[in-house]
Amino acid sequence: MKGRVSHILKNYGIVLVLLIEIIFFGLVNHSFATFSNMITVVRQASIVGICSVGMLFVLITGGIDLSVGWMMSAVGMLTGYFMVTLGMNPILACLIVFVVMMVIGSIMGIIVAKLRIAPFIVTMALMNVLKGFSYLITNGKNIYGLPDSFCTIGQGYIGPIPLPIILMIFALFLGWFVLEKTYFGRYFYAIGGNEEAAMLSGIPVTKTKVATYMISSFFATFAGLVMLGRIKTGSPTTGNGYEFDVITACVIGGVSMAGGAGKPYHVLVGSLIIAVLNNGLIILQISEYVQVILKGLILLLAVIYDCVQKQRQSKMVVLEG
Amino acid sequence: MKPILEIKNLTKIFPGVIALDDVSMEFYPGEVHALVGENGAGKSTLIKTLTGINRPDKGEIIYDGAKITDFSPIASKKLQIGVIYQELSLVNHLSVAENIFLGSAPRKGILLDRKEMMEQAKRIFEEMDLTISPNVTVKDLSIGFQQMIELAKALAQNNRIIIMDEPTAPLSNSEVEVLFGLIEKLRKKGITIIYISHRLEEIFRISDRVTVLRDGKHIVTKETKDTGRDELICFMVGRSLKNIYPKRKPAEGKQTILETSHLSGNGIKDISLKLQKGEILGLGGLVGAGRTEFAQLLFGVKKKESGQIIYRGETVNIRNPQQAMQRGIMLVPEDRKRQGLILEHTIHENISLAILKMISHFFIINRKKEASIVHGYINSLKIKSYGIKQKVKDLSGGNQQKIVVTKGLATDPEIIIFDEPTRGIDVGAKQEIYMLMNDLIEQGKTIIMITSEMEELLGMSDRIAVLCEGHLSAILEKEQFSAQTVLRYASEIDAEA
Repeated sequence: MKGRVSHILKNYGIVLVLLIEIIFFGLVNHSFATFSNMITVVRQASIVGICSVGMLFVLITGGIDLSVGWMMSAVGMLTGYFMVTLGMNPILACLIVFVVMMVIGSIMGIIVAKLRIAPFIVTMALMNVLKGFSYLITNGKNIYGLPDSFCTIGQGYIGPIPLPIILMIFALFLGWFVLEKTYFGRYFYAIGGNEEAAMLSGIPVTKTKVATYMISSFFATFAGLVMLGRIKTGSPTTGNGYEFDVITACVIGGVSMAGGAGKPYHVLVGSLIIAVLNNGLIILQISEYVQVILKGLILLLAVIYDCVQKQRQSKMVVLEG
Repeated sequence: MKPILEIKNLTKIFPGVIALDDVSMEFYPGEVHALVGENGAGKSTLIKTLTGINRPDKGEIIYDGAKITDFSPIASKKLQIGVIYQELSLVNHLSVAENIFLGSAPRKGILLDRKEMMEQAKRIFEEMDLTISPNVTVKDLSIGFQQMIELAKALAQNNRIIIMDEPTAPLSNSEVEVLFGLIEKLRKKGITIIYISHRLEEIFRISDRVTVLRDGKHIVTKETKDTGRDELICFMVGRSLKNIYPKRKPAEGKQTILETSHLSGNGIKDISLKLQKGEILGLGGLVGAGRTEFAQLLFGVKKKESGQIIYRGETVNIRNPQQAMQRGIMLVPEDRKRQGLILEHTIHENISLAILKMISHFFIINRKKEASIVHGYINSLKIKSYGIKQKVKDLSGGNQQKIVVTKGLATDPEIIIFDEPTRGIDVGAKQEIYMLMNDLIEQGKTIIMITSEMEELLGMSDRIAVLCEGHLSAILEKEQFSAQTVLRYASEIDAEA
């Protein structure tokens, strides 16, 4: 019996953290625990959630993608430019932007895989390229007047549920399907677990690594479009610092920075924990700046907890039946 | 003479297993005390307890008359107990001298005294008869030389007890002689050596006494001269093992399945040889002769510079392991932890690693098929574990090796290259692997076996190809098999027959 409980705690303990957090804020302020606020929270988690699915793939292979935040800005600016200034059909605009960003992703992937340069540096460099690009498109000016048809992606509802939430569920499902069900889903875990052993087992390491960064760019683009629809404005600074939120969501949710492990539900739980925290702190009217400090501390705590748990695992005596 | 180290009723329990069960022993100054036993017998646990990594659940450790109460690697360092592990503990990016003095470098106040460090390192190398510059970076050395550096480290730290865990596994025969010379010197200084090895020939050569552990229990301690190989094996496995190298029918007919023609690249120089279907071709040579490098060319890990590989009569270009596997060539790599396994993953994930695409239907993995394949191999190879969801890192060396082999066999290859198939595994598991190799031959497969263990090379091969410095020195037929012949060709190119 004791074994079962500690097994559950070990693997799903983070859900407990989420529940405690929700209960805490609910007790402290009654306006937190309403249905409409809960919907707001999950909707706020959606954009980070969608982008985090892409980051999950990267982290599983033992890499990191710092470009996602500014990629989201670039996506917003470019799509806005296509739709407003060029009057392009929204669907066409989105498709082109997906292609462009995934090509950028593939470039990052090729540099990481073939030249063996650390993903940290490569993606950081591209991050700056995308940042400059975001400003360059309109010389730093915001883009207004986006077509309403497009904005449903961020504003619309299906029944009582906001579209962004549905899209996040869809993104999570895609991630789950590839990672859990397909044969190439295992490739990501293998490369993150032991790249040399993966290579010697016939796994196409280079191709998989390139695909990893393309996938990250795909989901970053996806998130960027939803964000654009949500705020109805093309603003160059939209995604600034988003990579931090995304990585935090993954790590808090339980994805290991060392690679080789991580599941989509970690991403979901992590995104929710951050969204609940943001929302709760706003309701408590705590300063924006304090929020930033808290988020940093929480990331630190999450990583420490993860580490301590791993050390405990090897010492723990589980009483077998 | 009083013992320098005494162990009384030492017990250590891990989840589900009693690793040490009421073990009592004594070690004397200036003795070479061998410790033998199958994997899982408790040798590693004993070392870890002596060096403070594990805290015993019961029992006492008495060092130089005083009971040990503080268990940590730093405390054991103060006691001057040094260990040389199977998995080397060197820092790859640092120089050899820096590694030897890691944590105990000579200083001038707070500054590192590099000059003194280099001088001391040079002196140690002279004493060891090694020609290595103290400035060389560890990662540029072969595993054999890295092992020597570990020894130099132990010497530098003036340990009174040195524990050596499988020290000769990566060493060439000449390096082993150097090691044994060193051990003699250490013994004369009154240093105690606890020598753990599966290589019984070595134990009979250099040890004074030998202790057998089995299933965590102390079975027997004897003067080495009072016992023999068969008796030791009997104690180790609890049964007698006749015919370690199982006999098999020689291959009928000669059909060349694989041929290399003037193959060069990756350190290999102009190797031409023919591999006959149904044979075990042993690949012998000193460490650094190029055996693994040759295998890497055949398996597509490295690119050839010139020459050809001809498979079933067809010249092929193998550019990566995938292509090699498609042709039916599989490699079981040398270093199972770094190259063969994903330690954090489970047994079933490791076994199915090379056949993921094959067990899938339209991208989706057929889990039932996967489970049945995995269970099939676990049964037929007798892999011991708590279940297929167990992490591979928790298994014994022998079982880990079986998993690497299984992963390769699952691809149903025609040619299997085994690189050091029984390194660091116990006698019982070794036998199982030999029998497996025989089964594979009987099924019509062909094996290239790279091994540094002379007995294994002579016992299992149908023919032996001896490499020396990247060249093919000789191909020996069964009638020519002898340790001297192999060694001669391994040391000189084109020696007279």
